[in-house]
Amino acid sequence: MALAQVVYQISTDKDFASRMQADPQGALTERGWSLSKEEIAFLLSTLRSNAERSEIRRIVKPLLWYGWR
Amino acid sequence: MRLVLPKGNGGITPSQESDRWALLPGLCCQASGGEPDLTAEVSAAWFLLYIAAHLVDSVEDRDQVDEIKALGGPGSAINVANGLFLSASLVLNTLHDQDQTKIKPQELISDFYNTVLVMTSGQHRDINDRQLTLKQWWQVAEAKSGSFFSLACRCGAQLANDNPVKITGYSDYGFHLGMMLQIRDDIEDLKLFLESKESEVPVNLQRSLAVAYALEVLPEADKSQLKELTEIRNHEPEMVNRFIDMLNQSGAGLYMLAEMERHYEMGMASLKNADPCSPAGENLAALIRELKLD
Repeated sequence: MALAQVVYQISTDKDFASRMQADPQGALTERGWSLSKEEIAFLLSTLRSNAERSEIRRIVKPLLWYGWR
Repeated sequence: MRLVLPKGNGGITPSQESDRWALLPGLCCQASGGEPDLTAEVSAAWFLLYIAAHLVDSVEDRDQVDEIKALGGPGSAINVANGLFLSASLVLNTLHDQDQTKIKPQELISDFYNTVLVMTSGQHRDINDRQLTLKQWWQVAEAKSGSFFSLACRCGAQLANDNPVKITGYSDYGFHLGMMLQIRDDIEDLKLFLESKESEVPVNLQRSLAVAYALEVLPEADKSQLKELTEIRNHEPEMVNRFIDMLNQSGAGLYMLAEMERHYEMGMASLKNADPCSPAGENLAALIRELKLD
């Protein structure tokens, strides 16, 4: 559940978010958290490309039904 | 419904209909170097189970979907689902007549039954636990969707070859595709909630990924507030806005996007491990790519 903790910190602490973009490994180590390289890459790519898109209403808007139906 | 399996080199364009998932065993078989016709039985059985599971899920979740209404209501839908489960079993029994496959029919059939048991346990937990923790949400998603789509891809690959690297690669690809579908399914419920014109809230917000995430990370005081908001029964705009604001402030949207991206990347990596390049593999890549949220 480390990814959840990191996402929450990014979303509520601007300094941490900036630090994550500049030096993700250092920012995580300071907090005693550990993510895999892949998780850091996923998170940063999502953060950089979807800063506005991560709002719930924006995410759901373009969705058509794909899932189990 | 007639299943149309991919012929030739697997260079078909997947449709946008849900029956495209029935192509997974054939495409994985073909990408593994086998003939897609080998998968006719497992594809049919898997798809029958897929429809049956969807019907049961819709009835248990009290979804007002057209299929349930068209079948005459929840009771009739359960009868139809039972028929589909048994039909799938009958189709699987015909595997005993095949002698050209790389895997013993009984192993494949056992894999099907074990996976359905895992799915059922996930569904049981989903309907009986009022509120899921984040860890529980992922466990249910793995049981209900990840394992089932993993089965579709694994059985296709197993019918073509006995190379454990390929079999594991396709199995993992299917797992991540199933997880992406489950996340999308969950987000679709949020869309239904937001766009509902009904006075009654049409979905159970307490079991959504966004809420499970927020309840994992929010401070205690905020958790209590969010729990109260998930219990709203009247679709009042002010309450809905407060609920969505809390989710946004917690980073729930970013978390769901990050998890989607994580499963997409892991699914693509699994596919590359199993099959560096083939037309059927390209179609498998297209199927998982279309699930991305951007």
